[in-house]
Amino acid sequence: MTTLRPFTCDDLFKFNNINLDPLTETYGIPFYLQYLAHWPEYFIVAEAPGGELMGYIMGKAEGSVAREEWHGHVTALSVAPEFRRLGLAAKLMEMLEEISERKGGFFVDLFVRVSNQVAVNMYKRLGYSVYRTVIEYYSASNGEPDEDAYDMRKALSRDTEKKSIVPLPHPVRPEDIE
Amino acid sequence: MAARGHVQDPNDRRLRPIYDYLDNGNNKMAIQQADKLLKKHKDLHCAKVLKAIGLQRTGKQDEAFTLAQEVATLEPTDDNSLQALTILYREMHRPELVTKLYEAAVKKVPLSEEYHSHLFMAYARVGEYKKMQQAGMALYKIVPKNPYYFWSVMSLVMQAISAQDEKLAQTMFLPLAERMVEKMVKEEKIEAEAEVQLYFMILERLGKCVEALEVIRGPLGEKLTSELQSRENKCMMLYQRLQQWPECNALAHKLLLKNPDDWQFYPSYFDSLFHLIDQSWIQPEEGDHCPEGEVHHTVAEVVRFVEERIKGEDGKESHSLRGPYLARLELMHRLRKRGCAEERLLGDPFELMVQFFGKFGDKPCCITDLKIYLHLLPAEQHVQFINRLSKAVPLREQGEEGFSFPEDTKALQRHLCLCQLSRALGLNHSLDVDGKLRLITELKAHYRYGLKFGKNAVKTELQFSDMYCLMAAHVYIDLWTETGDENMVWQCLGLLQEGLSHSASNAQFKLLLLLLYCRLGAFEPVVDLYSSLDAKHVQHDTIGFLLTRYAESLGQFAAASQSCNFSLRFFHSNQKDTSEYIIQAYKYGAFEKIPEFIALRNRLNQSLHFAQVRTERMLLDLFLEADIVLSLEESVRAMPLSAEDDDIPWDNMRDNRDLTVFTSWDPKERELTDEHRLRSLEEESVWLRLRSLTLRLLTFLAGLGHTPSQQNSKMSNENGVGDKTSVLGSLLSQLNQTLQTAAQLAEKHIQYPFLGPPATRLAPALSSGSCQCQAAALQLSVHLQELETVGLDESSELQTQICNSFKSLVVQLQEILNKCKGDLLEMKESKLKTQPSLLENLIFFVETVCIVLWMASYCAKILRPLKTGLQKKKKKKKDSQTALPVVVCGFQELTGSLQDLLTQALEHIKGQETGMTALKLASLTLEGPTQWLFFDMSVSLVVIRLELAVQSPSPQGFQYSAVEGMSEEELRDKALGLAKHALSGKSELEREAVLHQHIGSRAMGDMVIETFEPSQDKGGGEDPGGSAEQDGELQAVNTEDTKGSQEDGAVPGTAPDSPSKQLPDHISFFSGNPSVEIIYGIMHLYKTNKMTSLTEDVGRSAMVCILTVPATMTSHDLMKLMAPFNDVMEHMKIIRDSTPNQYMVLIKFCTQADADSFYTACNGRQFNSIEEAVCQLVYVERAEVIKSEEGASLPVMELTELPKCTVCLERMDESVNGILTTLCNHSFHSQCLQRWEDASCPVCRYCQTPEPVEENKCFECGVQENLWICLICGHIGCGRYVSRHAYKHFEETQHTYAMQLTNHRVWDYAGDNYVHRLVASKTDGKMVQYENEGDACHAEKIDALQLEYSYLLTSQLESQRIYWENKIVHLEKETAEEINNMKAKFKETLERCDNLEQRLGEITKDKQGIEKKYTQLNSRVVKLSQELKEEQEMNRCLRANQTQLQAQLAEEERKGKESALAGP
Repeated sequence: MTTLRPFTCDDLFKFNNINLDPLTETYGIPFYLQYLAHWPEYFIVAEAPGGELMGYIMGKAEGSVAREEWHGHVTALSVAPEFRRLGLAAKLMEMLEEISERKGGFFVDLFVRVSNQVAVNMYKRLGYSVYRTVIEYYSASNGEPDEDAYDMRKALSRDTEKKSIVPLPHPVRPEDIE
Repeated sequence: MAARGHVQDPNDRRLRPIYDYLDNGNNKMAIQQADKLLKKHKDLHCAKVLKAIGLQRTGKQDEAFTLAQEVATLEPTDDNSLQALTILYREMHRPELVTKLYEAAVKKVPLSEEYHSHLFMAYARVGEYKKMQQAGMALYKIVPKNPYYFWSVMSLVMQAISAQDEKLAQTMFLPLAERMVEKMVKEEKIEAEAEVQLYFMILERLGKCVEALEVIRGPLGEKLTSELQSRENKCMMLYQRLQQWPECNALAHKLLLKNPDDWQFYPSYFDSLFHLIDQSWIQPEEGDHCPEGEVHHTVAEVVRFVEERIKGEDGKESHSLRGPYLARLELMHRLRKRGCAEERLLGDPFELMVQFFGKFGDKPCCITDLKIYLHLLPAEQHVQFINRLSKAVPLREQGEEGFSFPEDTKALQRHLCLCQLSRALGLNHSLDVDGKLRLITELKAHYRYGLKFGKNAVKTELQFSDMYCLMAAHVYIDLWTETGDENMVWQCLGLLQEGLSHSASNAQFKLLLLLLYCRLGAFEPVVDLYSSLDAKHVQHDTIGFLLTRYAESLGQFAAASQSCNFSLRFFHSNQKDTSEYIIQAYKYGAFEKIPEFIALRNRLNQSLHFAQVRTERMLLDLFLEADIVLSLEESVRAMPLSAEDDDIPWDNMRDNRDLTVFTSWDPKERELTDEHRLRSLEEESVWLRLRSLTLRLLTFLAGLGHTPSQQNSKMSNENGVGDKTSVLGSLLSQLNQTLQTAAQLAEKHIQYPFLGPPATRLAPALSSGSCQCQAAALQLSVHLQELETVGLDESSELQTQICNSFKSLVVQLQEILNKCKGDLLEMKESKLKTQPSLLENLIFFVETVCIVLWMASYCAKILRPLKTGLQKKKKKKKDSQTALPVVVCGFQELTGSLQDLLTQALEHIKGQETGMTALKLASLTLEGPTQWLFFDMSVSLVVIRLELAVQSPSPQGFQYSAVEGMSEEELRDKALGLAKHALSGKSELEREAVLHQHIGSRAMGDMVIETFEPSQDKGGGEDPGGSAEQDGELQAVNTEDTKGSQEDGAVPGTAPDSPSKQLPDHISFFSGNPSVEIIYGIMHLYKTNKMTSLTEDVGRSAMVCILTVPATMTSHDLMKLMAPFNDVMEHMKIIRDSTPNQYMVLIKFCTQADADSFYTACNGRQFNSIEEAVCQLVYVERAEVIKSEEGASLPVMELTELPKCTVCLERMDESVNGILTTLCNHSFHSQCLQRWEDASCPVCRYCQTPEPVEENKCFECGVQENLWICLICGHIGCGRYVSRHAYKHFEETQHTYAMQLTNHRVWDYAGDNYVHRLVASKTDGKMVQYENEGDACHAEKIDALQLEYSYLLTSQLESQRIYWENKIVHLEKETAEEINNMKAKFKETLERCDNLEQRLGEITKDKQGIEKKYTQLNSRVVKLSQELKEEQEMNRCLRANQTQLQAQLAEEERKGKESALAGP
């Protein structure tokens, strides 16, 4: 029971119930505007019948086509606590994959905190697998150690041999990923 | 910085270090480097610009600007300069200058695509749409690329959007844009999706829906692919606008078939149905069908459709979608609104909702879904509804408490939803007080029970049962608001804190706590709570009001100023950043987003919160920093503010506050309505207007301060004053007007829901009278101005008027002050009551006093010259008899009374402070069960063991065990099991060695144990007279030393030579009575290695130990602390061992519950408000007395012996990192030792550092050199060559001045230079000129030189390195190329070689063939010549034959002839 529609600037003023979650980062306005200017179709919000925002997904298309690395990337995916357990995240991911398919991507990828077991499991259920580990990708604020990230991928139909998701044997550092 | 990477250009290479310095934030070096470069290459414009950037970033805006303009007037056309200037102008917030720059560049290089596009972007940045259009077309002419053309089209659209005149937009800009696109369409040049989008946008804005529909459905529409369902959505919108209901209906129906959960189409589907009914639409003849398909034009059809969708979901095995079920309710809602009887077709809403609950009750969103439709139920069904639903919630059997709990999380969610629904139906609110309390108990029980499902949840996850806790808190708040019983709020706070301890990231808990603390006037915890919410960026605008509303009104000026700063920084960056992304949107063709981004920028710029923080921040600066005499002017001058101009967009104010951020289940009639929002905005605006006018009047006042200097030039004065009076007049009249509006508004007493917008400070400000007083003070400036022009002599009337105003000001101030009196915190009937409004009034008083003082100082400024004039006159006349003018007397009176008022206020504040700290928190108890406070916390119990020397008597009744039913022997076994094992079978000597080893360097000593037992015949120490006597007696005991008490009374103890107990019946009238014993030995303290939960039902112990009590705390004080527990205390033992200045207390309670309540009440609390010592409690598992020889010091299984931190006595193993062992071999928590002020050891007074020296270190990193102390707040941080903490402190707080600790020089971070002129002399503290020749300074200079030099060297080396590296790269490249060439050649040669070889082969083959032929031919020749020879031979033979024959013939012939002749 959801209205899925493009994210608009006005939604920035209403998404507190989603963004007050500790694992959801609130970015600066420029960050959102960059996505809205460049990949508006990749920024989708779900709205409940009562007008509350339920969750949103923000992503982009990037990478070189020649090297078969053109892909969709999930930058942020978050669902408000009260609208969890409805399969909304799966639905949003599905849409992002569909858009990436249309754009001729080879795969969809995302980064997730190693500790965020809930999310990792969900992505696994949705067909994603760990492609590599990125060491200390997430910088912690209050003196805690930086956290590693999994780079998870799912191949799209264009990558017929699923070459893009063959896991890398060694972890990489954030500066090594482009 | 852009434009690097080209290595070839020598200029680039030269500039590169400057870029690097700028990038690294080393602006000074950048400037230096640029200067150096400019010396060599005067015409290197870019270097100048880069220098300007450096200057701009170090705060030298003016210099930077002149430098930039120098370059700009030269109209540069090199990339570097242009880009650098663009960056500079953007940082200066002068984007309009960038346009000038590129206009010139384009003129010089008219065919450059790059400069033209930069020009376009520069126009876009400042929103010059018309010029953008032209620039776009110019671009298209140079390079006919589609995007350029459409940039131009979009600029037209923007002209239309921004046009003041809607008609102009509709008749000129948009049609023109349409025509431009149509031209492209006709020429079939449309390429990209964005172009179609733009076309659609234009048509839509023109209202040409039919055409738009054609475009979307036509071939152009096929380009709309990237956004999902984009075409369908657009069609739907157009159908609605065109009122093509059949198509609308059919399309919605088609889309819903595809995705029955897509909510956006249900409303269109239902709407279209009703429109069709209203039009009495009839299905047209066959063949004339709607292009979108089947149309449902009767209610029955639609109902059937919805029912079918539901059936579809019912049939599914898993994951039913909520859409169809909710759609049914929505349809019912709409039918009912129309008064349509066919509502019945859908069934009974009651049953439908029950069904929905049955299906989706275990989802957290069930309440949100159903809440919208609860109004479908008639009020009389509400209770029935809840009862019915509760049957669908599977709960376990009833437990002891009478509650039944859910089995699993799904059941829990259902039950939770049920509770939420009943609240939303208003059933909570209709309960009476007892009912509500019962409800709270039930919710709390469910909350705590539900915690077990989330035991393994990580910190970032919420607990399943969190919402119970929140609901209980809401009910508490209901009770508080209804009954005014503040106890409810205390309970609520406790509950929420408990909730937070289990679910550390629950934002709702934090928000509500924040709100409650603010309402109670306790701001301290709010800052942490808010910062733990991690609100950033746009959230400053949406929820920042939670902080800013209260910080100032509760007197937290610094926090208020800081939170304002955060918000301001966000708003300012918005102004700069957003434009860049508008440009991006052009680049990527996201045309639809451009108006959206502009709207966002405006929304933020017009934000109510922005205007508020802007105003309040400046007011705060004035209140905080402005001194009376000079700095009001200075402070005001530094502010972007003018009395004349109002920069607040009053008419377009946007309320961006997120007022729905609080979760609430209140019934509709209690919810926040739009009316509330409007009223709140109105109220906020009025208050803002008052504040802003006050601020502007203050600015004006500051401006008046320096009129005397202008007085000299009469010209400017006349103009100035004339102007100024009118400004002042208008400001004052506005202020009065606003005050009237405010008064009217305040009379309305608007009540918002508790979780709605907080009320402004308006009403309290008016009722305290501060607004009126401030206005009156400001009003005075008019009269004072008048007095200044008229002079003293002929203004007696005016003077009296001014004096009267003075008097009334004093009266008003006194009234305000009177309203501040009273206790902020008071105990009433053993309940704590807070009076935050007193605090609020006090703040108003402070603010008002500030303003009155400024006014007074202005007054003084005017009176002073007048008075001196008067005195001169007096001297001339030699007439000392003339009295002072009225106004001067009045002023003196005013200053006197102001001083008086301030003294009063200060005393009051001091009184508050002491009153608050002295408040006996001990007498505060929370009603109701308090055990929950430490629910699910765990502690480890301790074991206390007295190791006794052989000769020592053992104390009576010391032994204790928490575990009941264990015999003494078993206990001993347990305690000594290991020791016995270790000691058994060893010789005496060996045993001693082992024992000695374990005792280590501890020495046995005297321990004094005093035992107090409350008398049995007296019911506790309630009787005031009794307790007074008791106090006296106890004090007596305390002053005597232990020996003294030995002599006391009879000695009926068993051991005659030992100091023994004094029986209580000897002094029967007091409840506590010590018996004293002295033993000799060591006290051990162990903790059990397992944790024991602090829940109610776990057995812990009835004995509690206060680990350390400072010796300053007499046993009398201790008894006072214990007084509330006298009834339940069995005995109390005070143990003093050799540790000085402290002792330990063991308290045995009757039952564990009593021990628990004592623990809850006292653990972690300060003993009294003056000393810092905290009452650290532990549960004692057992207390043992064991003789040393039995192995009492040997380790025990399951127990860990604890060192004692003599300062805090916390169990040190839990914070091992902080343990510090001193030279004298005593251990402490390092933090505790830090608090220990002097350098001696707290235990033995051993002096660690012989001479106590000042030890300053960086607060952050502890570095001890290169330290800077902030002159504003005293923060100490390290310098920029260490870890930059001092600078960071400046960045965080904007405290600009810092003093170097070693040489007392003062640095100004804003100006980035030293600012000190005078420093305090080290010897006598007098102010002296700072000596430049000082040794330290010299050394520092050298240091600085060295540093500079090494910087220079490194930078040179760096650039050299880069140069050579580049060279190497270059060489490498060349070599590689050569190699490649050679390779190619080689390959070629090889190929040719191959070819030749091949040909050779061919040729040899040919040759062989030919040779063969040759031999053949040869042989043939031989043969032939042979033959020829033979022929010739034969010929010759034949010839010979022939001759022969011829001869023969001739012979014959002659013969013949002869014969013939001879014949016949």
